[in-house]
Amino acid sequence: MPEPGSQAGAGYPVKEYSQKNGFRMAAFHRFDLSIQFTKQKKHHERTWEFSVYNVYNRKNPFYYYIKTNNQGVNKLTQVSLFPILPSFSYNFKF
Amino acid sequence: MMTRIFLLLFTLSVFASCEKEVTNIQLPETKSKLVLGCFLVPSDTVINVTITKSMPIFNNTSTKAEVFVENASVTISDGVNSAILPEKGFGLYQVNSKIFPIIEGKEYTVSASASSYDNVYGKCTVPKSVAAVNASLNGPINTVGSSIELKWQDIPNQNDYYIVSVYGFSVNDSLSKSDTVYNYVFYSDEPYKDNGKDGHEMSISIKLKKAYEKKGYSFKGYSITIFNLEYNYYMYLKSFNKYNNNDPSNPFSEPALVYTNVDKGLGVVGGYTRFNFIKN
Repeated sequence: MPEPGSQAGAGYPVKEYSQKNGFRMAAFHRFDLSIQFTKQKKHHERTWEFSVYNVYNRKNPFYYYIKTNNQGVNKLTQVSLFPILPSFSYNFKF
Repeated sequence: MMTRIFLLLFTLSVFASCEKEVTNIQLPETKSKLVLGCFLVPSDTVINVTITKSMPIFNNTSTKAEVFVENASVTISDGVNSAILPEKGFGLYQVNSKIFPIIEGKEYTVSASASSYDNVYGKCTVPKSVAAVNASLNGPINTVGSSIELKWQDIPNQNDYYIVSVYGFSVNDSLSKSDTVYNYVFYSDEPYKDNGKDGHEMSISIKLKKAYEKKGYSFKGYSITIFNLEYNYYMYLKSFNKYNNNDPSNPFSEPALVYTNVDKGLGVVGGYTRFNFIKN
């Protein structure tokens, strides 16, 4: 705790955030696609899987934070994680 | 062909920006409020009140110069008498305590009004000060490992939050004008509360740091201050400290709200007393 008498905080800018839950984050939605090719081999069964995560490459909100731009203006900024992500895998059972 | 498609997809996924300004949602409209800051201390020679305005966080700058509120009407009252605080500039309103003395144990209301803002007010009861402190030093003066035991009578029928600060002081008498240097040797980050000890003896033992001894100066003793905070001021300092320690660059840090007891506004009206003595 600061020492009493230091006028701690008095006269400094106070930010006004509005009420708790005062706004709603943008909707989160995405489309994932995957296809499997399974084939029975002599001693095992193999599967090739091809997937695409977030097919339409939507930038979903992961979190928001307040960023001050070069002009010193506070802007609400969205951080997104994964864009379109293709992947493939190979599995076998024996 | 397949290689090109793969490279395109790879580039898209790796170099796609993951940060952007939010424009697709409706942000709440916020109105500036008056922010009132007043700390009442009976031993102070003036009463200071700062009046600023809160700044809507979005699409705004938050520079210090823009927040001062001018031409506000600020008054302090004890329920019987009242005084108007003249403006001193930069959001400061001030009155001499000879005109309006602050008395221990009394409740005060500080109110402010300014055009285009809601009228605001805050109340607090200035706590009574510690009357006397018994201090005994364990170990040689200004030595590592030395401690000091402090005992005082808690003030009954009020919630007390005691903060103790100790400075070691050294004096140089060889100069044409005697010079004194103070070095911090102890500060209680957390207050000592009188929970369950109301009106009883408070007893604490504190370990002292060794004060830096400047060449030519001789260590003379300790300057000990016991602050007695009332609830609002304690809550404000505690929450302000949390707010200050919050790292805004870390998105996962827990936001901290600063305590307020101001009706229809923000800020704090709080009080405290200080009891200072020298231990040689």
